[in-house]
Amino acid sequence: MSPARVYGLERVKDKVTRCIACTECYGRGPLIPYADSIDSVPSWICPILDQFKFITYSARSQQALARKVAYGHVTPDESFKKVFYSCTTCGICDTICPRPLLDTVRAMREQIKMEYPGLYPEAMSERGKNIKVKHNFFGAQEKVRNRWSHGMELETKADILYFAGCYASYRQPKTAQAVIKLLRAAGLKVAILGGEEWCCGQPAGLAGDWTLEEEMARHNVERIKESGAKRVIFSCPECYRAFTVDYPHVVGTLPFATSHVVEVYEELIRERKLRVTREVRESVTYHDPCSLIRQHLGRRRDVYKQPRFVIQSIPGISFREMDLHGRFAYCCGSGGGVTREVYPKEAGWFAKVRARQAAEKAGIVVTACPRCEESLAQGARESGVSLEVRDISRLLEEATGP
Amino acid sequence: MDDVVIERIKRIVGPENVSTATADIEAYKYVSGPGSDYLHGRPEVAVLPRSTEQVAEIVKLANEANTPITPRGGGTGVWGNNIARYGGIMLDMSLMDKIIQIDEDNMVVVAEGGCSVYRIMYELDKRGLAFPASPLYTSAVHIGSGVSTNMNGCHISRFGRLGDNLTGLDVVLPTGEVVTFGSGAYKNGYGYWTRYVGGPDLMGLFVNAGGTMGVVTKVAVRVKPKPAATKILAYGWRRDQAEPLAKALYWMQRDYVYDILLLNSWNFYMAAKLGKVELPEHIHFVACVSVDGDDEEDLAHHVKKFVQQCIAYGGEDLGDLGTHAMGAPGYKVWVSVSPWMQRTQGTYFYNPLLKFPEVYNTWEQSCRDWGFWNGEHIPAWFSFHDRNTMDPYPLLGISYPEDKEEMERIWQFLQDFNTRITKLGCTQYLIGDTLPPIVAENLGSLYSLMMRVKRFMDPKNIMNPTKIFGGREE
Repeated sequence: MSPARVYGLERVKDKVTRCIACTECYGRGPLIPYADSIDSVPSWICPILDQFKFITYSARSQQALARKVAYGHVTPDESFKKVFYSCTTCGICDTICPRPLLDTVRAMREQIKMEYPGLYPEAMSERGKNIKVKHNFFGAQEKVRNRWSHGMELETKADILYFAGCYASYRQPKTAQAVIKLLRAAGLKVAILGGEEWCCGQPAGLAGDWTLEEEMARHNVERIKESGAKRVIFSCPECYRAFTVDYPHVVGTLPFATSHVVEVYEELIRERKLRVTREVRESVTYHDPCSLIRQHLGRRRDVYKQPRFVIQSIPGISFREMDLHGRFAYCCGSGGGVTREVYPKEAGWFAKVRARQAAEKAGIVVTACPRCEESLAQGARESGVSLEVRDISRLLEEATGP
Repeated sequence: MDDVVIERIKRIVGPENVSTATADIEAYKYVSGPGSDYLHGRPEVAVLPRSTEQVAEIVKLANEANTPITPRGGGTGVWGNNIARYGGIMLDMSLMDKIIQIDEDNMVVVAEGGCSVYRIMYELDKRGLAFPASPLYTSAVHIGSGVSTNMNGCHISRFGRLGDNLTGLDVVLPTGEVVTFGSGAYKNGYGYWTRYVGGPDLMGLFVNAGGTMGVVTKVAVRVKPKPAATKILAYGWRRDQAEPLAKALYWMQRDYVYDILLLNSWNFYMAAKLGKVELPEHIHFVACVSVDGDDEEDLAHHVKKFVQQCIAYGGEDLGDLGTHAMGAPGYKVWVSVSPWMQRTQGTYFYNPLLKFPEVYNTWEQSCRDWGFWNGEHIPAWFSFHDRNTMDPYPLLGISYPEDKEEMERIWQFLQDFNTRITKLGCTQYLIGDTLPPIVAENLGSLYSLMMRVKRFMDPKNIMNPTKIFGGREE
């Protein structure tokens, strides 16, 4: 069982003194200054540092500020709130630094929630109420949560369970339907929790309201246990991350395996259970959702090869990478449902940057995250670039249809 | 600081590039080493200029308001160059980050002062060129602050430090006047191709000056062809072999071996404990050497000569250990060391190469006297070699920066060590109120001249007053 989680800065009090101040996290150049090195990435950058410019927004300064608060050298004010809540927690800093930087941001947000409630973002209080009372991020009616599955005659008990999450359930039902169709096309029997599926709680936990995420964790894991599922599949990387990384701290080792759908698609295509036969003549690039590539899933669990395999297995696709991809991918700005809620204008800035990066390479940007999909679509609209945003399940559905 | 001054700064650079917010001010109190743990300074406003003209306007305003101004580069300095000890304006040069020209005809690169040295190196590398003094730090290092600290790094054995390779500078003087140094000063000339013009060479006023003489906004540097073939080797010596090691290093320099990075075994202490590297127990010194050749045959020749020298002076082959230390400056180095490295505080100085044994004895004895020669404090030795000069950066690991008593002891230790090596005859990297008075006193009439030049150039002593010239009146 993973150790019980300690709340707030107490958890990182020792770690925040361990920043060796190498300064790599705010360097404005490549990690390795040689063009022929595989690690040469000429223009990677932390998104908030990119936008706000002051070093305050670097991981190192976040460590320093958290340290000052943890040891009582300073009392945080609104400017601290901006530093810690405009951070998209994309984790690019964690990619280049072996220190657990991202956890410091989460710990600081927990500290704000506990000790400085006046700084806790109103938007996240509202979202927290939605999650607590209506068990979904949007505050929509619970009874319509599984409307997307009407007519699909899904099981309530099976070895495989699809956890749709709030976005696919309420906003992107076609994605949820595509997932089911694809899994069924591969011969898999799939169950859902239906109305018993609650928000994963990740946005609350990420904002600093860890107890609310715990509550969601206990409920969801208990219901899944009852369903007897041996493997739970997610189309939302945030839900996937919540279950895989956070939940073990609450309920111990999960009694089921967790996978993102792109991992499953890759397996099914390799095993020839899923036949990708229809040509899709499009130029496509792929946006890596942060929660699939650098969110403490563990290096071996980082999911960046699988979606590329899936996309490139589709006949007719012309695939081009963005300059910043894989572990150096630029964030869409959603910030796990926090940044976009608390600082929508600033989040929109990230989305526009990313949409422009995608439009330079292709006409369609595919992603595997409903939040990224929404952010990128907004970014494309607001930046005026010609770019279509598509979920990977829906693209694959098109390529496997009858 | 008067709100009116801040409003005027906003008009110069735009309000989005000026901040007095608590978080920003706290962040700019902080520098790479724990200098900020010893040295206290709190800027009143953080400013991000985008052009030489903006810098000049801000400096003029600072003069008018009699406000200190602290130029800030990558923040990798460990001696508090960029701590605003007397408040005032923190001038973060990060947005002046353009590479202006890679002039292959004249083998010169010209960049804005805030440009990342790693970015310059990357662009040169694409063209088959190399930067003469390549830092082993990170991409945060700015070329302008590299001038202010006379940056060292890989390649200096052959080409010298950054200051030795400059061909031009644009500097905003402490009065706000903008001056171009080197051939770039000529109107309608050939650009920044050579340092030397008619009259005395004044460029050195800004080299190693810690940002006290002006703000470096543009830098031109000679570049070199990228070596065709390179090999990294590592040889080890026992603690009682400091003298033969120094002789081996001397002969390596005479043979123009490309880079030398000398480490003691404490550098590998934690990595060895964690099983990341293997260092024989009897080895105390590790010389990592990058050898270059015009082709594989030439490389093999140089490698052979190097190996012969190491063996002749009792060195032992350590296989690929060197690649851990200097294989790929930057990312891989830090990633490999960070899990075991802690925050550190050390001191930079220079000593003649062949004086290494007595200088190293002083380091060990000082550490022992203060109870720091142990695995808790990791008294690591780290030195580049600039031909006849050794550029050491001996340092201590700091496990508990919040332990004020421990931090005070480390501070006192470094003052003591710096006093001892100054008495030995070593020269310091920088001077100022972070070092014991003996450092400046030993410079005699030279320090007196520096003071007069500083007064002439910066009559109100606004430009980074903490460095070299001992602060300013309250």
